[in-house]
Amino acid sequence: MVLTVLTLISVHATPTVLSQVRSSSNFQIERDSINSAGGFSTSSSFQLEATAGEDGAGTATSSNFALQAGFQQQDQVTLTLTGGQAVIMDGDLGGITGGESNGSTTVVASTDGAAGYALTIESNSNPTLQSGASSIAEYAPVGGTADNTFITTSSDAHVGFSPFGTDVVARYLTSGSVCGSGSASTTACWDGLSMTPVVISSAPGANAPAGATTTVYFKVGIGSGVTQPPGVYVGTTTITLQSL
Amino acid sequence: MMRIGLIIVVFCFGYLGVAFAQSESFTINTTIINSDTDAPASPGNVAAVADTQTQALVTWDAATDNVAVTGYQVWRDNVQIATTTLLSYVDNPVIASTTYLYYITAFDAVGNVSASSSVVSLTMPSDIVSTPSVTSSSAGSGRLQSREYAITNLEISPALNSIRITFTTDTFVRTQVQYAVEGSEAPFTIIANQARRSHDIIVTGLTPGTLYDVDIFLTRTEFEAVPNETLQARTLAPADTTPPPNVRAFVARPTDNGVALSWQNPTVVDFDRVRVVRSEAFYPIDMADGWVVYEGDRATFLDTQATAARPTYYTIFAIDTAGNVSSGAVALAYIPPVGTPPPSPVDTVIPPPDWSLQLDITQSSGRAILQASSTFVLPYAEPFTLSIPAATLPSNLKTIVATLVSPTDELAVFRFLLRINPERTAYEATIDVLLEPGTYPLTIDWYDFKTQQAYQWQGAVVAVGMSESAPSQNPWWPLWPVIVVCSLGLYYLYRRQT
Repeated sequence: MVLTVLTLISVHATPTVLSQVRSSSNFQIERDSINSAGGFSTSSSFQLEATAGEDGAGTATSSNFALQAGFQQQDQVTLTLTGGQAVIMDGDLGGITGGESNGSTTVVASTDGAAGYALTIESNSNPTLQSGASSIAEYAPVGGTADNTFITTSSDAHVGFSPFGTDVVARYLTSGSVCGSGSASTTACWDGLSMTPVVISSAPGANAPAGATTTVYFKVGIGSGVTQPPGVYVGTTTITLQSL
Repeated sequence: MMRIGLIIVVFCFGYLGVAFAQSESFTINTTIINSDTDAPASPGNVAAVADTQTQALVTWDAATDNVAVTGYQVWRDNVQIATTTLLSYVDNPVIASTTYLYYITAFDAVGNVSASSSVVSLTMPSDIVSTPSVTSSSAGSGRLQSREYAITNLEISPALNSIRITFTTDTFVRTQVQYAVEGSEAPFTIIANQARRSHDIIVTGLTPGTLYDVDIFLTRTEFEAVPNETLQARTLAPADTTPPPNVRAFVARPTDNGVALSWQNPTVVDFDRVRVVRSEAFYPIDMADGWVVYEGDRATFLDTQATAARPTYYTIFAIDTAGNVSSGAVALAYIPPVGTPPPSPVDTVIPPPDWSLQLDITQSSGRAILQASSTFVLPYAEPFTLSIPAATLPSNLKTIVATLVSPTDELAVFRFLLRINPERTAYEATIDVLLEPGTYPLTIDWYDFKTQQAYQWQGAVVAVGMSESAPSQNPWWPLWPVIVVCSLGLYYLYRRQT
């Protein structure tokens, strides 16, 4: 009984203080709750956080929404990354004749964190695609920005990627001829993989449970003047979802 | 109280932190197929000749391919001894008086290998360093009429100070040999008094490395002198076993079109050519330890077939006219992918475990090299040799690299291999003259392939002008007459005063 009273007091005493992100130039509070009971108990080794007098806590979901009820339900940001199937490039390339092959993988990133998310891509090896002692170089954009067109000269043998989605960062947006701003495209903008993570998509705000879809396109280009040793070239790439 | 405790337990698992990340790793898979299954044609016109007693030159014509020929494999006695992009190969060393079988195969970029070329046989000379050029002439000097006696089985065997001539005649005749230094008007004559059919004449007292004109006369009587052969033969030169210095300033610079190599050839007079060998594994430690990408006497080469995405190691060997080979200068080329730092050839450098490096530096002039701790002082305008006694190193040691840094440009870094000498007593490298005085930081890296570790020693070479290299070399003894006279004068003055 005492606990129930305490709960009512806490709810009604904070009619205008809703759970939200609070930030300044130095910090950001992801979640907060105000209740007048519970509290923290600490020792040198442990910290016990407790809330009391809360009824109806828990998560309720539908296809479009998720309700997390309770004083501290939102202290934990839920990140969900799905997809990321293996990429099998379409068609074999002739080591002498050259050409291009394409492939893609799609991931869905969702977060219930109001600060949003960032999606990065990185290669697990350098160069990414290797077959025994042979390898295929990473795509190198001509300038500082990603290339609007995948360029393969006669002496090139390389692999590049291009992300596409609603939250793709500016580097991978195109005006139609130049990358850096504009809109996302499935045929631009092309960049080289690196063992250093590169942000490909980012957006503020929660998007759970639907999430945001990002498709990463890959292209291998073998120039007509290159003799690429035959073999199955394999590499591993990692896409990481982080909360902001 | 129980209820309160239960509630506390239920809710106490809340999180305070919000640092989360989730990753998905996936593979990218692409297949490059062999669209070229046609092997190159076999190289033609394979030939092998003896350059010297211990050096063979193998040459061939370019092979053809439906796409392109990438290189050639040189085979000796069914063992592959070299891979090269060139159309010749100098096989050194080979053993005198030994017969070798050579053939060549061509291959393309995807590994299609041609059938073997025709096999050529080469028997290395026995005692001949330079094969004498034998010229038959029946005209003689004009004093004599015509060749009268047939000579067969003529053999010329030069030595350092003599030339041996053997031949057979179809009848019993006496031999008269006139010889003189080429172009000299004062020939010496040797006359054999006994008539023979099998002749063996040794001309002695000759100068090493000198070309002689030799006229052979055959006579039946004392009054007859019929010229049968006029030939030239060169006595052997003293064996040159001194390797040339390494090239200077060997640099491998990645470009859009390949790796640009540049160097300065040694300044010694018997320098003949260089050979550049490439490997993706490590610095080639001998002339056959990788791809031969260039051989000649130029000072630049563009290697258009280097793989830009991997470290590419080069060693350049200087070769003199006697076939001696320098220890090798090395350079590393690498075009790093965007955002990737180039790898260091030395991943982990730790001090030597339980032995110390004994480094000696000598110069051909025999001048004393002043050494203080790990600093060597020497005249800069003279080649010098770095030497590490083999007995002081672990037996499993494989590769030693010496690095000199210019005193005025720290980016001018010259690296050399120290190779075991023929006597297997020391690891050595000869460095050509330094171009300017100054302090050259010297680093010795050695790679222990057994323990997979690298070690390093650091010191310096202080190159000074000749006058600075050592205390005054002027002896005092030429002044002794002055000293004696002055002493007598002082003694005279002393006696006068007393």
